[in-house]
Amino acid sequence: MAELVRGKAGRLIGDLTGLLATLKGLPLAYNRDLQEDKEPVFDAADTLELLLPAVSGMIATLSFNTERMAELAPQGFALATDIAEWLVRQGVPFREAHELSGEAVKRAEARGVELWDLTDEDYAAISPALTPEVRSVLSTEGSLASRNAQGGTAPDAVAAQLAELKRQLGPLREFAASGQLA
Amino acid sequence: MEQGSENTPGPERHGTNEGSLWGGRFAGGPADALAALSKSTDFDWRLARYDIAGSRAHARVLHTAGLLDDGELAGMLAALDQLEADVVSGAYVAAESDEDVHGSLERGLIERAGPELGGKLRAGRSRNDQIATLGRMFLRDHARLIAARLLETIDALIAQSEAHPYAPMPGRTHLQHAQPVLLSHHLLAHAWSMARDVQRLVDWDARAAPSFGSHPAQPLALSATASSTDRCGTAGQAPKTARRPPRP
Repeated sequence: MAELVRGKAGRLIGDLTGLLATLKGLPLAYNRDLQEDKEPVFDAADTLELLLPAVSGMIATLSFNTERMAELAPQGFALATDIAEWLVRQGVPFREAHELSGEAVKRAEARGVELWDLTDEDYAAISPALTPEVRSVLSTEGSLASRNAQGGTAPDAVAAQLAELKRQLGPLREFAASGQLA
Repeated sequence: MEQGSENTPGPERHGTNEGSLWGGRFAGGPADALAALSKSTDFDWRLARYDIAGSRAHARVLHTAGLLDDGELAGMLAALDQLEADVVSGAYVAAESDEDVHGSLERGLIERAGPELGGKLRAGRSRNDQIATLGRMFLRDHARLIAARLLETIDALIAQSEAHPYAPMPGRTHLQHAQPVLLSHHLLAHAWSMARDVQRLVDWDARAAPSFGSHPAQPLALSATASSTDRCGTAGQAPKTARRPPRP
């Protein structure tokens, strides 16, 4: 289903490029070339009106394997930037924090473990700035909660953008519901 | 090539030449190959109801300009209503000899209103005006239809986001795992991009709405008309009353 919809992109791009080629280089005033402007426009509208209900239906019926997603979320040193950002909040210059976080990844990778598997001594050996407190961001929950700026992925930030999205959809719904001729 | 703008017919009256408006210029009629190439009723017929709506508006413009009296306007509108009913029911369809939707519907109008009254509608407009108006009306309608379908898609994304208020997932950049993100955060990124698409349709619609500047760059065939008509009146009376909603 998603592949059928993706395939329609080629058709829509074809409608647009065909129309652009028809319009290219036309002199002012009436040109009968414009007989060719109807079908690509009709086809583009028809194609969108055909595929969008399928897309919304597909999204509405998706089921997510949230357990597996949560399990994978922190893996693969995905929390490395959290270490750097935590160091910045402790007053370490970002340039240095970035280096230290890279050092932690290097150590974990050499041992085939994840960042949270390194010991307090391992972190202290990288830098005295890396106190055991760093563990507060070495979890999925801590990482997510720390990204609470506007547009961030913290639950509160996502709730705020959802409210803003709904607000902006108000006038768009009004437009979609406004008069139709035929 | 256009005859629609002519309002001083020559001594020898001619009709729509079976819907081929320029055919009157040729003594013998165009070759079959040219006629086949010229023919557009196969695909432009779906604009028929927009053409009739534009004709109603143009009839009122002609009335305002004093080119149709009260009785003629009423007769013209009644004939156009009948024509639309016949188009919708399928009782009236394009003839093989009709060149395009505009010519065919003029033929249909003359059949219903008679040649004397039906022939008056062509004053002060041409197929250029008609098709430019029809294209806008079609697109303004379908912008709304497509916006509605996009909003359904956005709503599906919102419903999934609300069904999963806390579902962490791997967020990827540069083709690799980068940071944990919430599933709702990921889904809403797509919702926002579609919402921007709908906002673009709303912005476009305001530009396509009737105004002096939105008329075809080349009025009529080339240089407007000698008939004193309010051309914005046609656009203003087109049955599209929606106004651009206020932006947030």
